[in-house]
Amino acid sequence: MRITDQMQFALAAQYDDQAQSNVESAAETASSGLRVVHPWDDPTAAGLLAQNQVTQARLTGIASNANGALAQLNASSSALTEVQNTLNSATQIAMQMTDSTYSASERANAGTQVNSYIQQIISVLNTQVGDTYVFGGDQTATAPFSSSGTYSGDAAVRQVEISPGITVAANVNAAAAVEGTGVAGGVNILSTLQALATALNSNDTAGIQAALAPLNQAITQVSSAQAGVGDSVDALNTALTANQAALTTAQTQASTLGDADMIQAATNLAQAQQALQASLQATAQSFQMSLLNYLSTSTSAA
Amino acid sequence: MNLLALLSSTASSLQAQQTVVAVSGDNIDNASTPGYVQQQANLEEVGPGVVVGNSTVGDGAEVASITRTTDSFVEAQMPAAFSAASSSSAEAQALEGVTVLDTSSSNDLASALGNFYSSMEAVTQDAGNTSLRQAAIASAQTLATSFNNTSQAIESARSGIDSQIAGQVTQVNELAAQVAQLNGQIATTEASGGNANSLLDSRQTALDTLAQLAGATTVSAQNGEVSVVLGGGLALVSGNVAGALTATADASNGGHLAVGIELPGSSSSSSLSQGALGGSIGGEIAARDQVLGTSLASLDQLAYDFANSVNAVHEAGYGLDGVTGRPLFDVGATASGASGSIAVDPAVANDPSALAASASAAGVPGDGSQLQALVDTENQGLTGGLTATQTLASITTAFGSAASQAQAVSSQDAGMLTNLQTTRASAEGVSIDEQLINLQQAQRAYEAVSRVIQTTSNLLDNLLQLT
Repeated sequence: MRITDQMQFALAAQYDDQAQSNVESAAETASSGLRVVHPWDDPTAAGLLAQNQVTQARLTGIASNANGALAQLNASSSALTEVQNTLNSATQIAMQMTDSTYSASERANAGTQVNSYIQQIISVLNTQVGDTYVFGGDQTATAPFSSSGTYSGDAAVRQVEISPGITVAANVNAAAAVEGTGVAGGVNILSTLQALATALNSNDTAGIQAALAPLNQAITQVSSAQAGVGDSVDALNTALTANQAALTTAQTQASTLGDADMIQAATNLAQAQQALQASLQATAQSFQMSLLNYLSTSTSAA
Repeated sequence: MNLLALLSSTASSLQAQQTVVAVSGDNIDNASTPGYVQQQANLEEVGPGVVVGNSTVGDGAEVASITRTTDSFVEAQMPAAFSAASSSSAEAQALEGVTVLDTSSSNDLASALGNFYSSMEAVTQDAGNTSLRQAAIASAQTLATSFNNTSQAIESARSGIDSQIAGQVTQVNELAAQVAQLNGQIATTEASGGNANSLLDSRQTALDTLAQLAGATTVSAQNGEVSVVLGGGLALVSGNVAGALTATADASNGGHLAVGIELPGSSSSSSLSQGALGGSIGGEIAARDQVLGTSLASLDQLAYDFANSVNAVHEAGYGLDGVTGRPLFDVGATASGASGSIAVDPAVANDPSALAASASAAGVPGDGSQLQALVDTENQGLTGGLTATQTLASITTAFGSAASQAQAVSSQDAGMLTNLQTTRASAEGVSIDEQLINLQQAQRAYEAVSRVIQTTSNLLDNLLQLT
């Protein structure tokens, strides 16, 4: 092929530009550590990365929600344990006071004790996590139990998503657990305690005896609610572990899809730099090859 | 042959060698001039000469012609190669300018979409919590803004392409006028037997640029003129009359420029069919209307479908104030432009209690099940059958594939063009080494002819001394 000067310079510029561009590209990959920056770097991976970003955001959100629910359920569980302990104490008092050896004043004192239990339970059932009353059902903004024990909450049970599409109960149905609403043979715990207090104050041993069965049912109701909370807490803990694993998997997938193999990137950079050096050397040498050099040399020699 | 006639013939030979030196000098001077085609002084023997015995001795040498060393085979392939390389390069460059769908972008749509669902879901656990409601509304606003930004970035790229097209149309029209003028000058010069080589170089440079800009090809006429033709056979230049391209806003395409043509000798503009324009203008139109246009339309459809899907659930829910029927997003009546205009409904944006978290009025404030239903729409297919996330991934992949394909085609076309340009430069360019050899050769010839003159002169002297 006939080699012309313009062709020589144009090709040199083109090859050097290309080599320089390869170095820039390899340096960008090596310094950023990313294989996919633009969608055209790997269109399929770019699409999957977009989905992966949504997945990661969702898993993080679900974990945050589950942790929030867990805080409420743990608070509910502690409250129910306290209610249960208080009910056990009340039952013990009731059983004790059915004994004929106790006087009316002693029973009245026990009645006062039961009344303080009632206030204690009301206080515990008005537990808040943040601004939320955990036993109010959907009525989370106001205290669900008045000082007289009237329930102003509802029977709603919120659901928390523990993985996409799967939910567990996030609160205790206090209407069922405390008021016995919708529970076969259910009793109102506070009414039962109030009946016991009344019987104690009036020295009514028959009334005290009659309160024992409802108290037993009350303990069963609270135990049942506690078991439900335990199930939800277990499910949430399991879900949180699974969620963390899924998040790790998603992060690994994102890394596999978008991150550069650093060893490969460093090798590519070294290779591109060497190619650029070779190209520049070849260009410099080709420019020295001109008849003009030899003619001028012979002229000056002459 | 007599000695005086011999002296006379050597004079034309000397002149011929001087011309060879002049042509080589011109070649060397223009070795780096763009579009310059190497010229060659074609020598021939001056006839008819003198008959000597059975042979004829010529009357020296003369320059028969000075021609450009063009390669018609290569030249025939150049317009298509210029057009294809410019077109694919312009398309690839236009698409590479759009980085709003980059995976590394921190405020991208995918993150905004994921955060939107998560923030809405957070409210379901404590629906009466104003802070959570504000955070959820803020995430909806971020999502809407991400849609707006993405749309604006794509639309801005499309408008940028319009500016390029407008400038290139002006350039095409100037070049067309230049070619028409050169056509006339070349025809006149050649008709009078003159040398039109530099005019031919200028015209070829203009024709190369026209091929790069608009994919124009040429048809040669007998008188040295060429017609410039666009795809579909529409003439841009006919003889010494130029037509013109027009660029006017097309209301049916969002006000983007539509390129039309005024044929030579006509003042009325007619539209150009798709594919009539190649070169960078054709590539830019393809990037603007096909790849970016499709991406934007898909994004609009996604924003429209997503907003309607979310609104349907939100409108059925109740805010803390017990009011129902409020949309979460304002998105307009049609998909067109939806990604650019989507916004959180002011009623909700200005009042966190308006977020319809509850499925019933009675469920207020703690019920968040309606927002859970809203979050569940993330798994529902939109009109295209894909979920919002899948649709977004599909838009990203489709854009990436188109850009990647444009880059691959551009690289391939550039390679083919380089090969042709190398072949062209090899055939038509100036080799300084070669010209130096030509100069040496002409110098030697000049010296030799001088020696002939000296010898002839000596012979004449000898002859005169006899008389």
